[in-house]
Amino acid sequence: MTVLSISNLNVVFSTEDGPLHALKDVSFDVPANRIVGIVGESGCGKSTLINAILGLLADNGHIDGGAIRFEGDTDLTTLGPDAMRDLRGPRIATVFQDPMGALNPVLSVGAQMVNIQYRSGRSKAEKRARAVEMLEQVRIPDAAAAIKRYPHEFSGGMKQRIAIAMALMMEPALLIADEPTTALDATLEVATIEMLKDLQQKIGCSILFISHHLGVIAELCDDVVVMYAGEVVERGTTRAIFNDPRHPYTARLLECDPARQTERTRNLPTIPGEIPDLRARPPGCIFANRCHRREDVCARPPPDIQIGGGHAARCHLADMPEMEVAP
Amino acid sequence: MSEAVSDPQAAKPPSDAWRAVRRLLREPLGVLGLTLVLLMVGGAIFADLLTSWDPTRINPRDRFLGPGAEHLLGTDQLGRDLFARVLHGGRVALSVALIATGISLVIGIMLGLIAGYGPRWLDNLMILLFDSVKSFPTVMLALALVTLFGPSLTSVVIVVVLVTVPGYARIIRTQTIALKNSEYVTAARSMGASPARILRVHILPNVIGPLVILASMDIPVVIGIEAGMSFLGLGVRPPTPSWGSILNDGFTSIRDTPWIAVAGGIPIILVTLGFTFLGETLRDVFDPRLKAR
Amino acid sequence: MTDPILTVRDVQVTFDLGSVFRPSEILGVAGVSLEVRPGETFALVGESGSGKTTLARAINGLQAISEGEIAFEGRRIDTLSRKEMQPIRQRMSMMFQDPVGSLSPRMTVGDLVTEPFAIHGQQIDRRAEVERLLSLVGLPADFATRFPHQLSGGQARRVGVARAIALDPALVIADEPTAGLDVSVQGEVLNLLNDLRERLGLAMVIITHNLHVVHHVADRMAVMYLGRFVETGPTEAVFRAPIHPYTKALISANPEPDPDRAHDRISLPAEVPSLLARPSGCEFHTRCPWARDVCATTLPPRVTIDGQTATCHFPLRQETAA
Repeated sequence: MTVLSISNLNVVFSTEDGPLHALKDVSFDVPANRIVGIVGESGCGKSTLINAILGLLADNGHIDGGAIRFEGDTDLTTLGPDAMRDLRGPRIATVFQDPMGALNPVLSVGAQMVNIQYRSGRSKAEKRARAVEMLEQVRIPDAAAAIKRYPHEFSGGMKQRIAIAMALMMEPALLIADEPTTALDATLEVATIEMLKDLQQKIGCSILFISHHLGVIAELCDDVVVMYAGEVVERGTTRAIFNDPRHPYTARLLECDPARQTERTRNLPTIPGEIPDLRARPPGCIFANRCHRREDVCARPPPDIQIGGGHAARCHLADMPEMEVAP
Repeated sequence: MSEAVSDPQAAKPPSDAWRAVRRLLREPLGVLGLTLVLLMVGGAIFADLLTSWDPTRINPRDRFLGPGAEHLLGTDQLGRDLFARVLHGGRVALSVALIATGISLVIGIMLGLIAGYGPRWLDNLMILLFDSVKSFPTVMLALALVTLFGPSLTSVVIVVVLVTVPGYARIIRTQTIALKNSEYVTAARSMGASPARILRVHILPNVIGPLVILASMDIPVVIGIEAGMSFLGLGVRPPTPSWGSILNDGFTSIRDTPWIAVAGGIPIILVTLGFTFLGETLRDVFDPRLKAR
Repeated sequence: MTDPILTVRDVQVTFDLGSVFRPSEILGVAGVSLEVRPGETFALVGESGSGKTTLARAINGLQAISEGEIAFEGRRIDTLSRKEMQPIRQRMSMMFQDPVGSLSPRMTVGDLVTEPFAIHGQQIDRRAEVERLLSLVGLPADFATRFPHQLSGGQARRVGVARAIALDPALVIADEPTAGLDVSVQGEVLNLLNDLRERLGLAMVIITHNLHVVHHVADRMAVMYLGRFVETGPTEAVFRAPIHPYTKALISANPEPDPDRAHDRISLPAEVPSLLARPSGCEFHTRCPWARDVCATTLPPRVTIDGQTATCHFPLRQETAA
């Protein structure tokens, strides 16, 4: 069963200089009990995608075709604002880069965690017990005392863990985590993703994990979706994407990560060029202007080529993996 | 918001100022405000062309004439043409507003920059000063000053400056403090820029925009102060026309000749509305984040 | 061996907390020493709160120091006034973390890259100089009329680099030069810095939490923890065989983009202690997986192996690595 199924989603923003096609034919699934990572650089449409799922697109943006199915048949693109509000929180939870977005600075952590459970029908004591239990799960030391404290009394890493505890308290079907570890130090980052993985398995939810950090994605996620300029250029299992990338952008992006260069080098690989203007998308492949494998055929819109096992790439040349060129 | 909005490589976009004008003209209230303001400014500038009557010439035979073809808005108790007095009164109101606001802006900006960027003790001292001045009620302050200097346009200007400077200085101070530790100011310090250069090049251009818009929204308040003081006989001295003194002239005979008070009151209302609409639209156009939803 | 261009000796930086009535202070930088030679790249590595940025700002004279001394090109600079520091600033420049935020928002790229000349009152052919600087950092000349908000992160970073090298300095301090940049652009910026360093013979101090960056650009490095150096040495040696457990933990904490890789990771329990309550003994003992009783009570000794130095009771290796 899939928790979230996005098919041919298009999002358009109207700007002073004409319509801006921020998402184009985005399709992917988040299966139950899996962690799906979204990788992409700035301008790839990650934020627009999250806002579209949550029904929080800016006033000048609208969904221009496509469907976002949640837990089977509900199409989120057709739900009214009230129905969406009921879903956000209990069924679709979110964690963002800045945990203070989720924490109210003038309420104690315990009070906020009790408030979230207002629809649970539990007694006050049960709610408190549940709050303490969640804080223990995210490894906040001395949780029983910690619920009386205020957000500013915790370090950045702890605040983010509390935000995660709050997001998962109502056992949502889907957690959307937008760069939740980006602001954390490396040692805290790994601790946080390990904790997230544990909790996901305990609760049995799915996670849509957005990050630009390839190492974190490789470690945490089961499946990966690679986005570029508002399109899903490649998707598949983490192993398939990292070991057998079929889209030239994915391949180059992986090469660029300094962590992949185990040998010390003075010349790090890069992807020259810029993302094209999304108000005037090229008719063919969106990556063609920066692609080192560009051919004549790339001036035509590329198909989503299935490689097998759910691995697909939007590239004319996806069937012909890059030959290892001897140096 | 989309994150992919602007591609720098794209063709040259129209300048920010042009965009702002286009957006302003799309807002009905902005257009209304602009029209009212332009009417007033035009009336004040071209007062001599729009009427041949002398606003100060007393004509005892034509006292209390109602509005008509000869005298568009009628005449007052001394037989002066009210239309001419309203236009010339606009001149007074506008020049007081512009001069006083201009002086306030310059003083407020300087004091605010010094308080915000200078040492802590100086900041504390200046804040104390601003708050003390602000705590005087405007009317009391006006009365006190007029007792000292006598009723005149200068007194009006001084009152306005005293009343508005602390507010402007505080706004500039707060923003200066916010920018003082921004990375680009630190970067300028690390390059060796002097405090004067940092204030002039890096801070002033980034704090002045919102203040100018705020000041434009204060113009009706200033016009109100001028009219109020002239109404009380503390401002412009007769026979110079002012909307406040016209209002006062009409006030005494409001039962028999209501048009005099109307002639003095309507421009105050229209201009206040005009500047307020224009100021609010300008604020929204330049800083959409502040727009109330 | 050439004389060092920058010498930092036993530098301490204290911050005042509390009030007039209850004064208290914390040590942001707790006595560090380093030397940078002409043409060399030195990296300061540490987690947030380790004091690396404070140290960089102290070197640049933006932050007063309370103990120790800093010498640049043979002259002591920590005691200079702002005016006396002025000529030094032509020889030493600093790049700040936020690529866009460190550029004044109402100035054009042309004004930004020539600002150092304006500050130091140097007469220049503005057009030629803008063109020269932009081409040095690989930006087209028509960028001169753009404003910072019209630049991508990578382009803004290039403008920052152009400004930092405008006056032909001898030392550039770069605080997180790749922060906020996309992966595909990080390499560009690091390549540019490496290239400029070779062409202009710059010495550089790079501050970063990203160990992968250090690996590719730095000749020598120092690992900071709570304002002290816990390990210093040649970059390659430190990466190959760290002496201090903290260094090893930091290196192993970087998730690598390879799903099949087994993670023999040293996970650090607990959080970085507060500077207000420094741990006794070895300050790392509260998080160290190898800590024993002595670590909590006694200051650790300094261990030096092949030019690699660490302060630890139980160094991870005793002699020259194979």
